[in-house]
Amino acid sequence: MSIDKKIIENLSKILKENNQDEELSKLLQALLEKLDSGEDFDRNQIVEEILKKTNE
Amino acid sequence: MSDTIVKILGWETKGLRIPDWKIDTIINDENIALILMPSGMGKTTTLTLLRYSFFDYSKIVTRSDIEVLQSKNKKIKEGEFNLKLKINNSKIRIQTIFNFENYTMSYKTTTQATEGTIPGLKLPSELNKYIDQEYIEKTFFNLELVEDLFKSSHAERSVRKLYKLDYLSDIKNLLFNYLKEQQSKSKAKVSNEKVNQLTLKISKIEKQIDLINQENNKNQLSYEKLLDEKRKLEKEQKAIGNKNIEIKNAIERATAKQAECETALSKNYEIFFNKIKNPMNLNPEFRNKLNNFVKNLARLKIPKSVGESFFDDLIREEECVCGNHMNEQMIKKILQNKESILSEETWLILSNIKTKITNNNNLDFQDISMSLDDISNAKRDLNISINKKDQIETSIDDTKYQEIRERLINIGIEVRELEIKFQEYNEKPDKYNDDVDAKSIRKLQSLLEDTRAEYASATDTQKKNNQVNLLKNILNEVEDKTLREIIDELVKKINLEIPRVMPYEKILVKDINKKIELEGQESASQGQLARIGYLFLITLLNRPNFNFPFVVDSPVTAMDDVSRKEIASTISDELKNQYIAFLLPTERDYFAEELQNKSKSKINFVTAFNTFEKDSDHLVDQAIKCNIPTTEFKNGVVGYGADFFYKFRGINNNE
Repeated sequence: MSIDKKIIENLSKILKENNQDEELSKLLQALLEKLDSGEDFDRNQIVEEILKKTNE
Repeated sequence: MSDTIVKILGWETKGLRIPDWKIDTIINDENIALILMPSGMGKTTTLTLLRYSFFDYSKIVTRSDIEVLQSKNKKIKEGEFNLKLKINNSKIRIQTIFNFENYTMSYKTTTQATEGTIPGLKLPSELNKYIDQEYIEKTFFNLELVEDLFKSSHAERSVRKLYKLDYLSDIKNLLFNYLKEQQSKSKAKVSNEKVNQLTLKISKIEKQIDLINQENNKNQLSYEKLLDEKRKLEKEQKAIGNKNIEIKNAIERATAKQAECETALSKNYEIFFNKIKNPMNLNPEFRNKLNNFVKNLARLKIPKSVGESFFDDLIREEECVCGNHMNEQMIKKILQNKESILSEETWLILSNIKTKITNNNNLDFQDISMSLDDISNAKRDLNISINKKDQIETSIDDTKYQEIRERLINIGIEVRELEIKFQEYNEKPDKYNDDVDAKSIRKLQSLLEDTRAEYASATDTQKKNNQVNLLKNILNEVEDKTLREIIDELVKKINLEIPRVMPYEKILVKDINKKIELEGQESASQGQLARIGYLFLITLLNRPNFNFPFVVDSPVTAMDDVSRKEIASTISDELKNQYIAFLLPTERDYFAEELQNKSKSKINFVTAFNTFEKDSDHLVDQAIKCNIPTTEFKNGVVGYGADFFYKFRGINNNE
């Protein structure tokens, strides 16, 4: 994958600091990769999954 | 993970403005190709064609982009550029076809894998994930444009794009779009009219944010340009002034006097400010009140810890301290009044205030008015010095000097106007912040957040709104932190290299704050900028697991001999990728030889020129003398080998 590892590391770290689940980090990483691949995907579905895993 | 190694093997051109020829960049496993071409013979065009071969520009290019590639022979209606590549062990051919009737471009790709030619630009997926327009524009670089990295936000934008930080903003947009969609579907808790009002307000704020961001970017560019112009004009103006020693001395004296007056004025402002920081100096009535307050404090000087035990002991005595017999009524009164004794903390605070008031009570009110007089005098002196300098400058009998002077005055006005706009753009929000046409980005962002919250409440979508806002803040933090880390690392790497590349200059990169900022001197020469820009690009484009060619037009333009040698040294030491440079004959000295001596890789020396120019016979003669075939291509010559490369002289013999 070509998303820089600094983005992934900081994403995971800052989500953790904000008491978010590791699953959320994985979903956001997957979204970054999908955006990078240029492929078509169901945007609403992935956003819904992300919000399901987001603690207020 | 294995590396993806990309090598450019060469290209062929047909029916374009440049000759129909074939140039091989790798003949015998060379990692460096130096292509020598006289000025105006297609260096920049080839660089553009190489860019077009790696990224689908067919929907981006304009008619004029294609027109500049058209052959001078207007009967030719189609041209093509065929690029041969090697990606790991596979060979691939990319054909970029230009139609000069309707000014369009299209692609064909031939790969070993498909064993055939397919329409479109079909690069292997391992390349697609690294390559985007920004990457291509920086990898195929014209070093004459290096100054852009030191202006506006070019450098930071390249970092953002190449490290794909923009995807974080894309995610934020996805989240907000989803939220909007959900809110439009949900049942409103308020009237439809209210919901519509809020929707409209959000849309207006979003539009205004876009508008002022665009304006701000435009203003930033204008500001940079103006400052640049100012620096150049001041230099030019100084040079004209220096021609006459008397004028030069008079200007220097007047400039020194003006600087002295400016310092005096700012010192007087500082003194005055320190005086008015003390509120007792502002108003006699206020001072009296504070003094009375201190007097009254003296009456309440018993702190609680001492006071309580004292009065508890006293009521047990038969006689009071005043000598009277302690009766029931007196005991009751003492118990009542002891409640008003100050607590320990209050006493400490009041004690501090008391000390401050006593210590600050020593200034004469006349001091303030004297300070104001001093400011007024310093201002007058400054005006006199400015007028005097102005008189000297006006008296200089040189039209160019006067033109510059006038322009500098106008630049000063324009710069101040832009600075006011920047202040307005960054203004903080206040509690009355409800202007959808505000010019401050901070005010608008705060208003947008509040309005979105109101809208969420009206549509009963607070939970989703809070989640989206939380994610937005997290993604912003990730973006800021990552950008900072990348920039710090880049700056560190570049600064490690600078002392070697520029051993005689005390210059370092301070930061990349939108643009590359230098430390050690106010401005740098074009040669210095080029070398730092080079280091920036090499460091920036260096990717783990991805080895892509670095192609540069005019690699050592505007550089002295030392800089050329050092750049050659940087390339041979630092660049592991294939390196292709389009050189002018004037750039060859000190660069090519040094690269040849230092590089561990073999170098492919290529010399190419067209034969449709009037004076190309002289070039053909040189080729014949070096045993270079001159009839292989109908309107150009391509020669290989160091001998012809070093012996070749351009159109002008001094090239």
